[in-house]
Amino acid sequence: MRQYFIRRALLIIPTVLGVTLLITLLLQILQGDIADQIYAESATFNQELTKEKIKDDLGINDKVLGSRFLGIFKQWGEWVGGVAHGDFGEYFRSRKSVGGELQNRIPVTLELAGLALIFSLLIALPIGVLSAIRQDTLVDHTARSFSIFMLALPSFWLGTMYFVVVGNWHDWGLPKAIGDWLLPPSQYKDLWVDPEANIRQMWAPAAILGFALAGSVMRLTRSQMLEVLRQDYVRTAWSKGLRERTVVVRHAIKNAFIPVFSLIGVQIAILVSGSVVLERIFSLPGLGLMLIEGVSQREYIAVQGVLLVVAVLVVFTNFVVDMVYSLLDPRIRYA
Amino acid sequence: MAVREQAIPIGALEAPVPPAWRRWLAGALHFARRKPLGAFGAFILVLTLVVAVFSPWIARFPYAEPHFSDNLQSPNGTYWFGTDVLGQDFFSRMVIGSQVTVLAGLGTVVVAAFLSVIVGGISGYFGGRVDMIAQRVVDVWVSIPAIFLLIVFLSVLGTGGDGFLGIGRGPDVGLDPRDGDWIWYTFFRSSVVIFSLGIIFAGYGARIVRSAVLAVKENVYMEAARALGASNVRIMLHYVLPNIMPLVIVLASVNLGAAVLAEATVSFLGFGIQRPFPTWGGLLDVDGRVSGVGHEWLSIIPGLAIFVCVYAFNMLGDALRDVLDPRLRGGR
Repeated sequence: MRQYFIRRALLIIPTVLGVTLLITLLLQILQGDIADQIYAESATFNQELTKEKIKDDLGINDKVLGSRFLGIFKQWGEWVGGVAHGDFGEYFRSRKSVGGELQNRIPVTLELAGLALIFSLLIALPIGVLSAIRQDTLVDHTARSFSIFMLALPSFWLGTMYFVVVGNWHDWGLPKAIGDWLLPPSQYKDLWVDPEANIRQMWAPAAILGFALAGSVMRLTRSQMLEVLRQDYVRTAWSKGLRERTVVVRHAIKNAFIPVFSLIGVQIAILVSGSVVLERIFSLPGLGLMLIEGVSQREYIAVQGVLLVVAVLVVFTNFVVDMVYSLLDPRIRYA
Repeated sequence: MAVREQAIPIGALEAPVPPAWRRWLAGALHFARRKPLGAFGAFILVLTLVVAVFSPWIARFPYAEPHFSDNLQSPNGTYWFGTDVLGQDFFSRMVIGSQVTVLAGLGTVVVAAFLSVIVGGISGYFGGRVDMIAQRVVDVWVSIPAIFLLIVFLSVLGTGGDGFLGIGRGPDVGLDPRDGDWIWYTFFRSSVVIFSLGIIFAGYGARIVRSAVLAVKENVYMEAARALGASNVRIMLHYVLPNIMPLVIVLASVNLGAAVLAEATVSFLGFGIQRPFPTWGGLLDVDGRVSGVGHEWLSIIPGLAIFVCVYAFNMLGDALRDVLDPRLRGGR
């Protein structure tokens, strides 16, 4: 167990280093584009500007970097070295610090993902358990077809429809007060600054994101419950004459939830992916929006920062979930 | 007692074999009876495919033709799905857009299957150091959330101009302007999207293929093949590949819905095939999100189309998985 723990922890290092190398390789290709883009933006105001000058300014010309191939590794080394000291570089245009921007963005995405996770568990766990203990009844069939629907419902469609419904609220003669509350404030408010406005902005995207997740969690909960309910110790519990509530809550649920817990580790990547779409629809300034803005303005240092943060987040959660999983379930043996 | 021998005519003991088409039909009917939802999925897939292939002839107007005086009309006799801000016929745009859905869906799973068989196969077959390195690469690959990697990929390769390795421009369009809208040309247009989606899906597939190869490797016939002096390439192509093929097919069909959803998502975010060419995700974004208020059909129709396709393809994938390889059940 301890050896496994150490080995898994050590494997994080090459993975994260590999991620930084992959990110740098991918984004070096965008490097030429930013000079083109800045040139297109400002050439009309400044006649003397040339692309070469812009490249000199940004420090990305071949003279500084040497050959193209070695330049990539040089930039990689500099960037990783900077990140190791907590310096994520800066934006090319505004000279803002990327690290500071990340600090503003990370809590937004984490709040969204956390709320979505809570929301999905609140829906999925009770319904999944109910669907298993009432197998092949109307409840079960409804819950199952519902979960399949949820897996296929695109979150960007739900988000779009939210605004369509809220926008049409008055025309459809629905109560005005609710409609006003439902329309999220246009300016993003921090949770600590204005909790009410923050919740008004956050609940709908979190619910939509959680909805997408709930489908798969519900399916797994149901199948795990069914498996546990067939175990000998559950039969023993029944034969002792315990009430159904006791059998399910005390004996079955705990064991059924262990694999569900590990699924949540896998789902973190899906939650973070989904947050891109919802941040964009609901204009929440999180990591996803930072990525979209960064990519479309070719601010590749910022994009590198975002990618590194989300990758580390995913790798780290997977590690923690694996570790906790092996503590929860002593039957698991690792070679 | 003498036993009289009787000559049995050759072939009399074998049941008559029905022609191939009838066996296919019987198999399909059997599948439809056992898995009605899977059959529904197959029906939707065939329907979308037919619509996509014949879309230039089904569309009622050229997809980019504006009718400014008729803009933002509700669905009616002339414009079956209404019109958008520019007065472009929404029905024609939806029909043409189905090409991208079909191509991105099928293309992605084919590319992903191909790549994951190569990476996972080599990694599992050779083991040792090769396996170690390949697994670290896959670890890196899957640790960046898919959409993030996809957006970066699409913007690095560029979906607007020349496309992947310059094939995005496609061959020259013939005399009939309608030819340029045909699915063959859309294939070149969407090459970047297909390639990017495929390479990202392959990361997850490679792990599954690898574990299947490891299982196949344990069989005795592998040892026999090696004892006979078969080369690595021969063993891989003739012994390993046929045995993991059902798994690869299942993997591809299970991913079909996810691929369609991923294409719609990147198009919605504006990183897919660029306007004026329509994609369902792009229509939902530019028309549904921006002018959806008061013109609900613009957001309902594309969203519903995506939803129905993803749902149907998921059902088809699940049904095929149950029939071909029930061991994979509950993996998702």
